[in-house]
Parts: sequence; C-alpha cells; structure tokens
Amino acid sequence: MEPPRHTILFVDDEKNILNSLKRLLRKEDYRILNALSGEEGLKILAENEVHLVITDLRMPEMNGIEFLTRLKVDYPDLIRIILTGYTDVDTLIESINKGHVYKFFLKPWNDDDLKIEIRKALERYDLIAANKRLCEKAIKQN
Amino acid sequence: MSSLNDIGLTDAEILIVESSMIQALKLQTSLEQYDYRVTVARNGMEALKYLKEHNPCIVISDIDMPKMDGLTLCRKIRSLSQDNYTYIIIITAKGNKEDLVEVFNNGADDYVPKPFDLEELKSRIDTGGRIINLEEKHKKLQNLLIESRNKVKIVFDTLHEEIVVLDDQFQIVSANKAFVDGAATTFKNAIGLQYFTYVSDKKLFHSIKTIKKLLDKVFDTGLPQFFLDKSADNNGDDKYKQITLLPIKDGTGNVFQVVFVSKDITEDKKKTEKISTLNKQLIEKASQIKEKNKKLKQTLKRLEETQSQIIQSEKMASIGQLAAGVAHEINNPIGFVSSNLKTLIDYQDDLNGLIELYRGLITALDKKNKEELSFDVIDQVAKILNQEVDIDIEFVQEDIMDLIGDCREGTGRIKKIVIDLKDFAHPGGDKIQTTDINRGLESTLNVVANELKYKATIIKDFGDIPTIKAYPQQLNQVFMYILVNAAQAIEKQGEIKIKTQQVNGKIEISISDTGCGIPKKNLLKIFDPFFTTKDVGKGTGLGMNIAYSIIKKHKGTIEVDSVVGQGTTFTIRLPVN
Repeated sequence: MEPPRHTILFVDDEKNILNSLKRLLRKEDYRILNALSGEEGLKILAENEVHLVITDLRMPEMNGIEFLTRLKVDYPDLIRIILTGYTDVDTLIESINKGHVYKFFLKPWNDDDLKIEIRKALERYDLIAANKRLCEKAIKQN
Repeated sequence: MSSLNDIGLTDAEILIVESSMIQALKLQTSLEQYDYRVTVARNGMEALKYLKEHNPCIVISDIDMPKMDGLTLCRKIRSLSQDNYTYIIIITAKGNKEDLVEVFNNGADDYVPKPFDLEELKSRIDTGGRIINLEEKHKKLQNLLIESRNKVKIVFDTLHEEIVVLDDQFQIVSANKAFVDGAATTFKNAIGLQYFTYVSDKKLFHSIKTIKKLLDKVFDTGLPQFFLDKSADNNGDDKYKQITLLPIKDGTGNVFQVVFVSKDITEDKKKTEKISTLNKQLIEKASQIKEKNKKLKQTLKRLEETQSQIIQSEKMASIGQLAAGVAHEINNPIGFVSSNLKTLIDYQDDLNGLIELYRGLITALDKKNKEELSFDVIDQVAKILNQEVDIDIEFVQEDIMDLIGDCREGTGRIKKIVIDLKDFAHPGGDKIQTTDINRGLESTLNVVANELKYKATIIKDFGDIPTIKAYPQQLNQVFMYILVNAAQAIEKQGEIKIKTQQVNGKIEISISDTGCGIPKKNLLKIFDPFFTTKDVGKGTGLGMNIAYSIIKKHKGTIEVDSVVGQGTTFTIRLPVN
C-alpha cells in the first residue's frame, strides 16, 4: 500500500514567510497547508489529516504556546516544530516544556537543515504510526 | 624758719628744762631769735609730762632742779619707748671729768657749761639736729627694710613649698609658714633646729643621705642642686617630693646659707601620669580612626566600582532587551528573503536550462534553409535573435546569478550582524563557556564595523590560539570598548591592528591604533570609574573600568601603552585554562 502523501501545516502571521517556506518544499512531495493564525490552523486541522505542524511563537490573538498546548491535547500524534525569530530563552523553554515540541528552529533558518529535519520528523511520524498499528494488530490477534 | 627746719626737721621743737624762770625765759627768748620753736618746763616731772604728749626733738636741761634732776630726767627719757630720738643737751656748772662722764652715762648727748655761750649752744643744737636727721633716716631705712622683708615673707608664706634656710651646720636660720605649719611648731621654735635630725625623726624624706650629700655640694660648688625624693605614705602609695637647693652667697661669692625648698608633687605626678595615659589613649584612638578612615576609603572605592558596574549592567540589560526585540523583527524578513533567494537561484537554474534549450532550437532553426521554413517562423526566429542581442542574453543570464549571489551575501551579512548582536547583549549570557577569542574578535568587529570603517583600516593578525573557558560576551564587550575608543582616537584616517598569539602559556591579545595617544597623566586614570576625556553626555567613562573588571574576573591582565601623537596599544593577557 502506498503511504498517503504527508501533509504539513505552516502557521505564521507573516504571509511572506509562508510563501518562502512553500517555495522551499516545492520539489518535495508534500501537501503544504498554510494558516495565518492559530485559530485558522485549528480550523484546517479539524478538516484535514495533518502529520506535521510548523508554527511561529509570536502571533497576535492566539500565541504559539497556546496553540501548541491545544495541539498536544487535541492531536497528540501530530509532530510539532517551532520556527521562531524570538530569542528570549525563557519563552523558548516554556514553549518547549508546555508544548512538548519535537524541534525548534530559529529564524533565519538554514534551508537545507530545515528540509532534513522535516523529512526526519515525518519519518518519525510514520514509524510511530506503524508501531501503533502493529501493536493493535498484536492485541487483536491475542 | 630755723636751721632745724632747713635740714628737714619740720615742726622741730626745743624743750628747755630749767627751774629758774628768769634763766629759762632768757634762754627761750634768745633761741626764738633763731626762729626755733621753744617750750619751757620748770622741772623734770613737767618735762616728762610734756614729752609724753608732745614731741620735742631737742631737750636742753639743767641738772639741779627740784622734784627731778636733769640726769634722772635723762635716764627717764631714755627709758621711754618713743618713736623719735630725743637729743639731750645738759647745761651744767659742773665741769670735772667725773661729772662729765656721769652726764654721758646717764644718756645725755651733749653738754654745755654754765655760763654758756649762745652761739656755741646754737651750734650744738644744730649738731643735735643733724644727729636726729641721721636717726630719722636710719629709722626710715629700717622701716623700708622691714617692709620689704615683710613683703617677701608674705610671698614665702603663701607658697605651698616648705622653705627653710640652712646654714653650713644645717641649722634652720629661717623658715616659711608652710614649713612651720607642717612641722606643727612656731617660727621661733623652728629657728635653730638641727634640720636633718628633724627630718629623720619625722621621716620626711626617703633618701636623706643623698640629700645631705647634695647640700654639701651646694656649699662646696655654689651650684643649685635638684632631687626627686620618692617615699611611701601610710597607705603604701608612692609619694614624690621635688627638692631644690639654692645657694645664698656673700659678697665674696662664698655660700654661707642654702635655701632648701621641698615640694610635694605626688598629686602633680599623678596628674601628669594621667595626662600621659590619656595622651597615649588619644594617640591610639587617633590611629584607630586613621585605620577606620583607610578602610572607609577602600570601601568607598569598592562601592564606587560596584556602582559603576551596576549602572553598566543595567545599561547592558536594557540594550539586551532592545536587541532581542530588534533581532526578532529583523529575523522574520531575513528568514524569508534569504530562503526566497535560494529558491530564486533554483528557479533561475531551471529557467537557464530551459532558455538554453530554446536557444538551441533557435540556433538550429536559424541554420536551416530558409526555403524549408514558413515565413512567420523565419520572422519569429529573426525577432528572437534580435531580442537576444538587444537584451544581451548571455550577460543577463550570468549577471542574474551574480546578482542573486550578491543579495544572498547581503542577507548573510545581515544574519551575521543579528547573531553577533544577540551574542553581544544576551541578557542570560553569564555562563562560562568554551570561548574562541579569534571568533569573538571577528564577531565584535562585525558589530562595530560602522564605527570603524570610515576612520581606520583594520589589520588582523590572528594567531593559532587555543580556546579557553571564559564569558565570551563579556570578553567581546571588552574588545568592543577598546575598538570603539581606538576609532575615536583617530582623527581622520588611521590603522587599527589586532593581533592574537600565545605567549608563555597565556593568550595575548593586542589592539593598537594610530590615534592621538593618551597623555601620561591620564594613563593611570583610564581604568578609574567615571573617568572620561569626552564632553559631558558623550561617554560615561565606565567602559574601561568595566573592561578592567572583566579581565580581572578572567584572572588576566590588561595594560596600556601610549605615546601622544603616535597611538595607543592595549594588551590583554588571559591564562589558558
């Protein structure tokens, strides 16, 4: 069975960032979804199966940490990555601890590094998913 | 005025004592011719009575008189205790030697034989006057002497010192009140006392033998002697007596008496000792205060340094916050610009590939026989070839890549500056890290590039130095201060040379400029807090002080060398750890 195409959600209040990220991954075989806010992101997640979300921290209305905390509860399997220009160490620590993120990147990012990490994150998603299925199968068979 | 008045005997009066009235009056009249004041008494008893109430200085008396004869009168006059001397002239008929002797033995001063000669009597009266004058003078002198002696005695008697005057047998010749009272005796009894017997009995002094010897010395040498006698009183406490021996010399310079002055100075000594102790305490207190002052000064200096560091920290903290905010604002656009440029290159690569294919087609078409192609194809091929020349396609293709490359370089520099800024003013950067000094210098140079670039050429001579454990942001701060100062020291154009090397197990960083240099008098002060040569508001004077503290924190040294008009070199040495 062909694995379904991976879907990545980018959340950032700056449109230009979203555009450049989309361009970056054009040659990869991903489905890219964009949201300009946490609210919009949640809407998209409700209507689509998303495997990886990459979000900024400093956004108006719902900030990144709030968003991530919601994701942790509502979509526990979803892999969460932070991409931020904000360098306040305390905020970063808080966001990692509360939001339980897989990785964080600082803006400006290195294109190649980002691409590699995205690939790794999706591999991880697949591994975890496969593992789950196998476990379920094993339980069923018992 | 009589001759008696002339010699100074005012109110001089002559008393005639004569039983014969006629002779008395005759004599009175004769004498009054000479202006003498004359009174008459008829016998000795009257004369005496008169003498008790009046003051005749001369008495001229007969011998044979009723009731009291002249010689008895003489004796009686002499036994009267009178203030003034009475000069007695006896007039007598008796003339032999025994009678005369008797006259004088009874106290008469002169005699005149009967019958007497008036002139002779007058001259004897005048002689008497002279004698009385002498007597008066003598009495006056004596009074003066007594008066002055009394004055001296008063002074002596007020002194607390016990003063005795001793002769060469050590007998008391004179003593003052203090001694007399102290000896519980009278002045009269004190005179003639054998002094040293008295002193031994009363145990007045402790070193009596020594004092005796000193006394002998005064008599022998004529020089004053001094002695401090220490004894004990009844309670066993110390008693001190200051003894002074002063010679009294006669006309030939021999000492015939010595003044023995003894003063109890126990109290004085106690007071002096107390003063001495108090003085010592004062001196000690003064030196304690001096110590305290010194410590206070040191503490003040430390406080000033701490204050300057706190001010600087706060400054840096607020700069840090600002930098963090600015960094974020810059990071976002840099993020997508940078990424987009990379994507752009990829797009351009793709396009270039495609363009090459198109050009290949055009070239092929261009080569073909014109008869084989349709008219508008030939037309389009021609248009394309022209367009290629017009826009200089080869140049554009190459230049697009260069252009994008330049933009990427630009964004790369912006990224670096933001990173350096973050490194620089990171508020949480107070941890020891493995530090690469050369990298730190590069990073700092980037940050201050704007301050430097118009004024100085930077020459970097980075040696092969090991990394050390340090606070990299703080070291960068130090480099920044020195570099900015160096640039400001250069008026128009100059050079800043940065050299790093390892010397004797230490990392040596030297930053030299060709600026105006620092005068010698300021060299010692440049690390002082708040010292600045800039105008008010243009510099806090804290930079070098902070630099010094930071280097010290790293257990390193920072030195400055400078020549006015030539330039300055800062040399930092850090231990390799």
